[in-house]
Amino acid sequence: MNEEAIEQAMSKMEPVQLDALQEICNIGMGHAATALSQMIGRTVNLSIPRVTLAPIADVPDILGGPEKIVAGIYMKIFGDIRGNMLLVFPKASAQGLITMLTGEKFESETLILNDMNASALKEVGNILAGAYLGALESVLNMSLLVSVPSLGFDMAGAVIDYILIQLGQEVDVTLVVETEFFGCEETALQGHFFLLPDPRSLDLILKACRVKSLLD
Amino acid sequence: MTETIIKVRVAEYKTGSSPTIFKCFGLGSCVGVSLYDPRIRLGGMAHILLPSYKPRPGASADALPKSPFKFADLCLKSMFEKLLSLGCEKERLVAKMAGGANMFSNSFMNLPESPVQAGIGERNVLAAKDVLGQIGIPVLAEDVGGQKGRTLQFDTRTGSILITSTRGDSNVI
Repeated sequence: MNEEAIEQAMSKMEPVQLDALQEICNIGMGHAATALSQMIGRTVNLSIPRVTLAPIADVPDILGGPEKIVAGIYMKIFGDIRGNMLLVFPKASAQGLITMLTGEKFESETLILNDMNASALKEVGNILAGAYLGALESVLNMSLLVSVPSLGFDMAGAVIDYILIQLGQEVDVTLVVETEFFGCEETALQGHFFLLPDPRSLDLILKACRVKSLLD
Repeated sequence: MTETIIKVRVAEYKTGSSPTIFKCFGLGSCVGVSLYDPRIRLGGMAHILLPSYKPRPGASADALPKSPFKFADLCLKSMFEKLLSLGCEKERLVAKMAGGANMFSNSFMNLPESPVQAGIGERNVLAAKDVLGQIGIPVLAEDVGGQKGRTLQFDTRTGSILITSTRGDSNVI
């Protein structure tokens, strides 16, 4: 099956296939949100995951516009499926999260993170990814691993284009599974979780969910 | 006369004449390349994602990808020909480029299991220079590399590119 066939199949995905993806991401994100909630000792709410098939040029806009300043924690998924995970916090939420974890207060303009703060954010990514993938492992009955996290604190377009470069080597459209999470009123925490499976892995996920394969 | 602002997105190029301003937002490892004919104040800007196009194994050598302009070679060659057809002269064309940063850093960069590999931005810059060298267009200025995102504004009235980053610094090339 070549990339073109995959792309065509992706653009013709049926509601049942999209529902399956939405559901497994909801389960994964549920576990991740619980982990985050325990870590910061506050309630974390989730939106229903949104599954979008988008040309790679549109991805920066899905993230809220290429110039929006975000902290992006990027991890690669290995094992039975391959893909990319990106956890995006808008600037204020990233700084708020660091304050919750380390007690350090920020000037709103600060964009340079010291090692301790960068490490705290990466750890958040690691714990969330671990919880997310752990849930997916048991639902899909697969073995999944996550890479060490990398952190970028800059314009969304600049943070995401590295992932687009990797996806762009094979395809022109990508599947973005997006979940928004937010704290309760007193914690203005907000973030997005993106799962960008490699095109070839998408079919493996669908098969594991026992819904129609892309190839049928 | 008020200027027109044209947004150049990933894997696109746009052309236009003075007083057009081309904008590339949030370039990380991508590279923005401008070609400009100062005599007639006409130019174009490309937002490149990948170094060069290699046909898939088994595909015919002439088969073009669906979005060819994500590749430095296909994008710059096409933009060059478009500019010639709009009246630019090859001898007058000059190039500038910016971007090609390494946005993520970690201490595992050199291990195969690292989520990010070093040098993606650099490869894009080299590929763009390589193509411009083949066509024979001089690169007058560049602002590449580092670990910061850039927003570019290429002004066809002057041929200069204003580069801003979230660090608050700006640079004109």
